[in-house]
Amino acid sequence: MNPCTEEIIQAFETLPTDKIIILPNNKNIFMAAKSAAELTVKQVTVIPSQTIPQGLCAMMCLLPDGDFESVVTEMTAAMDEVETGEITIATRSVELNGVEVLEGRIISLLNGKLVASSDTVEEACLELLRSAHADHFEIITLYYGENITSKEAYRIEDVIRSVYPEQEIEIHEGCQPHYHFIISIE
Amino acid sequence: MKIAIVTDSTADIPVEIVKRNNIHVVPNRVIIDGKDYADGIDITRQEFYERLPLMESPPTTATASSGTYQNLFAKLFDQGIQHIISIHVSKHFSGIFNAASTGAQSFSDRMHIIDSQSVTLGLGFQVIAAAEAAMRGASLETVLELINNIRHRVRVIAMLDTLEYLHKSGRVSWARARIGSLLHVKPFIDIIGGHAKRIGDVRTRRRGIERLMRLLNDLGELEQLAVLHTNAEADAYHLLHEYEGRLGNEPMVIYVTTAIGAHVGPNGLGFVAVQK
Repeated sequence: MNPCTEEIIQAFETLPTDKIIILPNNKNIFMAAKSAAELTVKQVTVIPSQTIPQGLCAMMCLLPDGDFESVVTEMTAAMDEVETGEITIATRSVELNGVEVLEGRIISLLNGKLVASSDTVEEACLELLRSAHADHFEIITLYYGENITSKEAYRIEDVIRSVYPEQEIEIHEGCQPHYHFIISIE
Repeated sequence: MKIAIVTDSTADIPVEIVKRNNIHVVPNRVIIDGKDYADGIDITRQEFYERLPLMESPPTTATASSGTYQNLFAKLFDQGIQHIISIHVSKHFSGIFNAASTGAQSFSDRMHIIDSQSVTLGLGFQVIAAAEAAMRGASLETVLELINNIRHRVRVIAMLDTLEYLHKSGRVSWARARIGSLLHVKPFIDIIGGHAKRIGDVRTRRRGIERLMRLLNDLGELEQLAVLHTNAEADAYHLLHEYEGRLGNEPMVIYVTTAIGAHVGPNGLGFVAVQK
């Protein structure tokens, strides 16, 4: 599922520019991206984004006409400003970070760290947001995946809106596999 | 030599400066729910921005007619004025420059219509400098050169709170797309050569204000500074308070003209600076 070095090179090699920034958005793609950067004559920097919310946050700082180094610095700094939440199903039973998880339960991950185990996706989202102190942030963005219906996703969005009336809430169809929601908290 | 300085209300010059320097300001028109208002005269800016989110349909703006300009120019010449310099908002944003140019046609070489290539106090600082020089008795050439000099040193940068109003106004091509895909984007705009160039976006207001501060502090020592807002006065004073540089003159905090506000929406924040 993750792209290999060659696929990454092919993605940028024919672009009409020699200044490239790669956002892997996944720690498992980072090494392939680094290899791609080393195997080309183009000026390529890999910004070490580990999640899609980090990548999107960095993208907001992209100035196509800006100074390359300054843009990279700004984009890299921007990633520190976002919290990433992920809602998925536990594939095994485990106890981690003080959270007891049974296989098949819905788990909440905050910046890759397990923070909650719940019976429902709605509850998992709320636990995640509580752990992230979402009430101290401005925008909560929900990207719903292919294993939840849009109807259910919008229903959960409404619940979150009622719990967080001071925050801006956005919802988008993310189509990602495995994760019911990827949540960006800015 | 008697020189009169004319501009339009988008210059955002505070009324006390207008009076002190004998500047002639032609008001733009703003149309709200079918009713016509003279910018800064029939409706205050604060009232406009408070009403803006509640308006049934987006407000529109209109220039004063070329006849209005012609009548003003004729009156000034009748009063003994020898030359009129009429400086206006960038022609890419408004038909005001064309209206003034048409109104000036019958006065030939006594008229000097200038496109400021800027907006709000980016235009206003050029006007103020010209008016002060004219009051001191400077020659026509000196005043025109001064305007040109200021125009090359002025920077106008702003953060919009939303793309929604720009999108509805249709005034800026890059605001027409994307609106349905990502709502909470706060675009940054730099006025360059009379055009609004998008220089990036932020997602949160906090980050936006930090970026504005950084952009302002990066300009170095300034001759003039005005912080602009569309009903975000507290943020405007905060930005001014955090400014770390040296200023040649007392800074201003200004409600932006309704002519701009109608198209950018409330809670916008920015600055106009004249670099040294």
